[in-house]
Amino acid sequence: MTSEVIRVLIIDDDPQDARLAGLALRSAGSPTYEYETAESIPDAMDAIAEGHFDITLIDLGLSRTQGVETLEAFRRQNKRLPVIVLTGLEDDSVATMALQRGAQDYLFKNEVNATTLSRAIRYAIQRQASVQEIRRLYARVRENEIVLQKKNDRLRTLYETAHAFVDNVSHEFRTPLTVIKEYVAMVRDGTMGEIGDEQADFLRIAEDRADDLNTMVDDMLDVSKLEAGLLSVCRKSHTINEIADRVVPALTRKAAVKDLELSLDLNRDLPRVYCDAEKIGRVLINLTVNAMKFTQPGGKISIWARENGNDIVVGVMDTGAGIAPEGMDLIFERFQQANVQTPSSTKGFGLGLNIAKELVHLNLGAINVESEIGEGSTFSFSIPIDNSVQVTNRYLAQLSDSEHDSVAMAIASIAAIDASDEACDDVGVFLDYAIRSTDLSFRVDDRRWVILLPGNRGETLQFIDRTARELRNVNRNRPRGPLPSIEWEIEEVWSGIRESREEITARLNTHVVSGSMAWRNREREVCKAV
Amino acid sequence: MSKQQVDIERDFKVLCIDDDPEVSRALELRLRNIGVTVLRAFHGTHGLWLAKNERPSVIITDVNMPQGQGDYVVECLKSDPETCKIPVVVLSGLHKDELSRRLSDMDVEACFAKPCEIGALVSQIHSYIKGTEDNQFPNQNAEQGIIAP
Repeated sequence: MTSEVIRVLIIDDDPQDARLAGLALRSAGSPTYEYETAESIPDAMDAIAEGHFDITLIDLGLSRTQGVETLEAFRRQNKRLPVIVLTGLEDDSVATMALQRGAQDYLFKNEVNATTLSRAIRYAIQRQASVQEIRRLYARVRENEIVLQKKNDRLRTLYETAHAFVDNVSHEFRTPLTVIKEYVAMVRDGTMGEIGDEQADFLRIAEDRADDLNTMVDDMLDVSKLEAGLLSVCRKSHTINEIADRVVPALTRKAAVKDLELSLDLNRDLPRVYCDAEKIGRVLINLTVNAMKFTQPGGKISIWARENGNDIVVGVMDTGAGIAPEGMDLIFERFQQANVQTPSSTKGFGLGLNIAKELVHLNLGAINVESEIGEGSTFSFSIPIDNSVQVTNRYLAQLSDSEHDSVAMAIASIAAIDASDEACDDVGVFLDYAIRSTDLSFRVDDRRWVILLPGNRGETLQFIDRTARELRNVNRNRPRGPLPSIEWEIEEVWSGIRESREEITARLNTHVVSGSMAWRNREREVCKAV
Repeated sequence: MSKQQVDIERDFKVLCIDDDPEVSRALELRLRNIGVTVLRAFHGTHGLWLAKNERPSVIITDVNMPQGQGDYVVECLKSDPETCKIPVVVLSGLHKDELSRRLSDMDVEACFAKPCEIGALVSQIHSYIKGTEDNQFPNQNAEQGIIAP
């Protein structure tokens, strides 16, 4: 309270009462009070319009209004001024109502003296100031909230636009790349007439660079999808050789252009692995292309694979520049390139190793690097051997490590009803893309699948619903008739995987051992799709 | 239809539907070497018309095209009794993930993502044509009775 004089407006239709209150204020001493009186609400409004007041004392029984109505009538016209009800009406329920309708205090006339009235006035002014401040702050919070909401909407739009842009750009790049690669190849291989050795060499370089450009397009798209959690993964049983065979021809071409010796040491008898072949192929490409970047012409690069416990470890070894120990931690980060002198033609986005790491992670493996300056580097990654129980173990361990809180986990089984073998394979293809990269699915026999779905029962039911809708969409467009009906059963939901890992693995094991699902009617929740 | 006559009449047609003429031109050059004629269509509707009128042995189609997206083209081809037995190969610039998602509701024999190894595509086409020979697949010539003795 800054002013030394507190100006009070006393609203009371009884001049005697008003004068008594005024006298009490006069005798209060410090602070000094000045007062004016008004007999009705309109009079009070006139007085407020003409002069400044710090507080109002109001009697509830005026000539035109009675009780809290009087207060309401005042508050309708003035929201700012603190109000103390000063009345002869001793009624607690009225007092409570008055406080709820914006009075700061409720005093009985015959209990009031100079000291108590003065204290009540000072406190009331203070409280009203606080109320005003809270209102002001609240209004500002609301304003900020709206601004933030707008900014958030805009960011989301920008984010979605950026994703759509990356998608479109990558798609649009591929057609010209095909034309460039193919036309260059046709001239290089003599389809369009004979050419000299040097010309062929130049065209080989052009072809190789078109391959690089394609890898960059893939990287861009992968990064954008990894970030948004949209990269799907289709894990199945494969051999390492099968995966390597797909990518080695392009890598061999690249090695020839760069004058590097590329050797493969892949034992044909290695156990099968469980992974997404396309993604692991990309890891192999990214690691090998990276090795080629940092290896001088005449150097060697070898790709090897060996069994290690429940994993197959695949390595890419080079005789390149090597990485300094302080660079090792950064190397898998995005947009990082080892700080070594390399010819400018080897620059890239710096995304390759980061993507390799993420893709290995999606395939339940780990990536590693060993290096010595001047000697070379070995990048290696593990992928689980195709054993559903071991794969499940790995999957649960990874999920426990990556999530802060222990996540819920549902196990669901799916059966294709009245379906031919061919139709069951089609259901398999459908499920491959319907499940999320965080789910883990196994086909336990010809027409049955078991899927681990992180999430509680509600989330799982939502997922089943969504899948059913997706299936209906697919069926609308299938010229050879709809896919067979599939039946879902949520077998069990565990509230936290950390505590239930062994139980979940054991459950999966029963499916694997029996080779078919143990159909339980317990907690049967069937969702008939189609 | 005797094998000998097929060899003499070796006049296989492959229809390539792609809005980029240079893609189909490259295929035309490659396939000419194995004695195959390439028919080129530059949008979906044109492709469907050629498929019905020319009865190619194999159809290669893009997915994102003006006037009839690839999925629509495949749907039409596969639901028409006159064209439903012709093998369809999709060649598209879509990312593998997106492509396999779209393809799971299409009914095609094979799919290649651009840029693909044209050699692999050509040998795939070759295998369908060989299949046509070996299995005496009903094709244009047979139906029109040109080869039938």
